[in-house]
Amino acid sequence: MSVAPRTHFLLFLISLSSRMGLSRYIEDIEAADGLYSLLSLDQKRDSEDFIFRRPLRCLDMLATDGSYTFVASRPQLACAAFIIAEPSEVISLELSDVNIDCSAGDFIKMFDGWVLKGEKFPSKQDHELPLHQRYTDYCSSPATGATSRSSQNVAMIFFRLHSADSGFTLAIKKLHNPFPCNIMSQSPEGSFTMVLPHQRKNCSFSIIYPVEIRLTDLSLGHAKSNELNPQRQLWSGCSGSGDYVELLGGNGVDTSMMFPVAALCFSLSGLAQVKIGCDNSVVRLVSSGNYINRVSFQYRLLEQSELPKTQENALDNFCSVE
Amino acid sequence: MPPPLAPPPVLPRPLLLHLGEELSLRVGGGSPEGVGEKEKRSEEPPPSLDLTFHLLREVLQMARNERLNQQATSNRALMDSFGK
Repeated sequence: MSVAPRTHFLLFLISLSSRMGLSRYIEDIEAADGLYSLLSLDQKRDSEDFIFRRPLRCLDMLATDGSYTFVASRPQLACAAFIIAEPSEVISLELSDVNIDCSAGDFIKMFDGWVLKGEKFPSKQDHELPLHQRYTDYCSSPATGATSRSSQNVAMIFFRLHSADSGFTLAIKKLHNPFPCNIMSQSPEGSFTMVLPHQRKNCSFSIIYPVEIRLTDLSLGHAKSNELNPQRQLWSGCSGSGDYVELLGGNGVDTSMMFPVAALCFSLSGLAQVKIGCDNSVVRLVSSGNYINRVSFQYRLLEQSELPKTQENALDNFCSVE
Repeated sequence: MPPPLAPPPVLPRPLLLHLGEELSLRVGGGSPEGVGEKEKRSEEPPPSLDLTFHLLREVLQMARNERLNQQATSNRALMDSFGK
């Protein structure tokens, strides 16, 4: 086949692919409802019994879809529940059977993210909403304040109940998120690929353990040479590069308050690894929106012997890095 | 008839002993006064939780175990349905 007809043929194939919506980066492979899809209608109706239900504790961590009911046996003035899903999920929250007295100071507030010791995840820099829009206050508007949907795989609920027998029910449902951004890992080991296709935003993958992180693939907008550039004190990093990946370490959940460990400004085809001996280790992808950026990495928990020894009279507050 | 509520996972004893030492729960955002609650509520600092990473990891692990157990229970119930 000569060049011109071949070119036309290839263009024809490309146009067919675009109409079919094929994309290397958009893969939303759903297994439908899995085993659930094999049930008959009667069996599906009976599946209401499959909804997980249990009492909610004043301090709780919820990772399972279901219905959680809190009933105060005595005044409960400081309660909170963390909610976490898989990296590729967001969380839908719905309050029902709410029996509280807002005028007496009771409240139920849902937060889009996690708050720990005053620090927020995702940070203000990494979340698309201003801070005040991340809170949903039931008492401010019971009609609209009873539902909330998170922007990432973590959410929280805070509540205060002054009277015994007051309470509420919280329903948790997880929804698929095809382009996850800002993830809290449930486990100290695993792997993940973060993709930002032409999106101007910053995304963090947070691991609340001291880990070794191995970057296995990095594709940034500008493909030039690359070197892992560990920075400890002088941080020049990749500022000004537009799109880059940075590794952070710290002892809080707010990524804007964590220490930069290393930064990669250019695409990577080999392997780069860093041990971060901090309570929280983060891979953060900064994207200008001009390119399709992708970073793949693996992480594992550092053994006790790999953790830094406590130094007496140590003034350096930064966790150890290798 | 819906099944009875499952009991919440029992916190292990070492975790309970540590709660007094490690956990400091500060949750603001409520007002006992009846007048102008919305204004007062908006002025108060947002709630926060003083929890150590150690305790956070403990409860996270418990939640993961609960999810896995629930998934196993759900799969078992589904397979029982297939057999009917």
